[in-house]
Amino acid sequence: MDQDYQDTRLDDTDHRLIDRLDTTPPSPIPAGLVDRVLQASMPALMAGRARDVTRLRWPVVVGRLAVAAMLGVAVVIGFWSTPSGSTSGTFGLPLTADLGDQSSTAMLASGPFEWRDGPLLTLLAVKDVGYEQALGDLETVVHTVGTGRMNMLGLVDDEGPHDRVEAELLTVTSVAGGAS
Amino acid sequence: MDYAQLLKAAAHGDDQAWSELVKALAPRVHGLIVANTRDPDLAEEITQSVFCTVAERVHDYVEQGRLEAWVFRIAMNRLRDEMRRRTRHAKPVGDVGFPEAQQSGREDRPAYVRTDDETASALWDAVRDLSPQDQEILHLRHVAGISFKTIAEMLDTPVGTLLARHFRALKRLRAQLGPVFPEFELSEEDQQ
Repeated sequence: MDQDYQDTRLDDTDHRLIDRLDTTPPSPIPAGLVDRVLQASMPALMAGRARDVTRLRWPVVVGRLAVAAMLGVAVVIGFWSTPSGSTSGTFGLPLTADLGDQSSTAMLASGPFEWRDGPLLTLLAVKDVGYEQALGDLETVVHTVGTGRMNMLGLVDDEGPHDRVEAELLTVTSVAGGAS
Repeated sequence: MDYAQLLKAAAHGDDQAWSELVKALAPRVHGLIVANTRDPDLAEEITQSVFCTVAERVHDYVEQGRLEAWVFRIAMNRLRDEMRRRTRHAKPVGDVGFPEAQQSGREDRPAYVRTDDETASALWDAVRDLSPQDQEILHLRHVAGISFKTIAEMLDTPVGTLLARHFRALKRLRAQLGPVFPEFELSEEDQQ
């Protein structure tokens, strides 16, 4: 029995009676009681342990879903907020359909489109290129890539073969979008 | 290792810790139930049920130094449920009595000396004649071996109230025991 409150009103006879109560159980402990209780409680203990594991998994799953959702949102926001001039290849091309019907003057004068000036100027430069000329460029690109002789393309010093191919494809796609 | 540490270890897969916890508490829970029901078989059944509940909720316990109170509260609730069930089914509670007392053979002995079993029987028979409230405090304190502090947490009762209740229960028990155990007879001062 642990340290406990003492009642100072108790006399010696009370303490003798307490000793007798403490040392005289009302019934003997049955032999094998602990073993039987252990045997009966073990399946419940396993269930209790398993229940906790299940309970712990849910927050982990929810947490991972939340992180995935946040990443998804971040990617979408990043996609729409990144200036298309900083993208490479055809990443910014969906803009061409919108641009095709607008006058270049209006586009250049409009404030909100400032961030698009880079690709916009490129698109404006190719806007007047004829469809046949663009098709010819495409044929050249396909032929060059197909024969593996990409060095035949007229390259400037700071422009790699892939940049050149992409530029040509951009031209063709823009013209095709404008024509349709 | 204290009880709370044993339970925590058991919750994390330590079967030995669970075994130690059961070894420490199961006999006390059984003693408490059998003191109330006088039915050792029912007491064992309830004891098993109590430890199954503790095992299932092994992760629910939040350590506040009250594990003993938690286990014994489950035991008391289970006991009350059982008593209610028995009352509903109109079964007499604990007419079994103590076999030792019924077979004492006292009258055959020329110089009678009370055996330990007979002493126990007479002592706890006298306790059973007390009010339920007196019995409860004596059972919790002296059969289950629970400290006043823990009993106070279990019953949500101030310690001072419990000490007073315990004091009065002892005096009433002495009054009951007087004719059988002269050594515990109340003094004239106490009787006043």
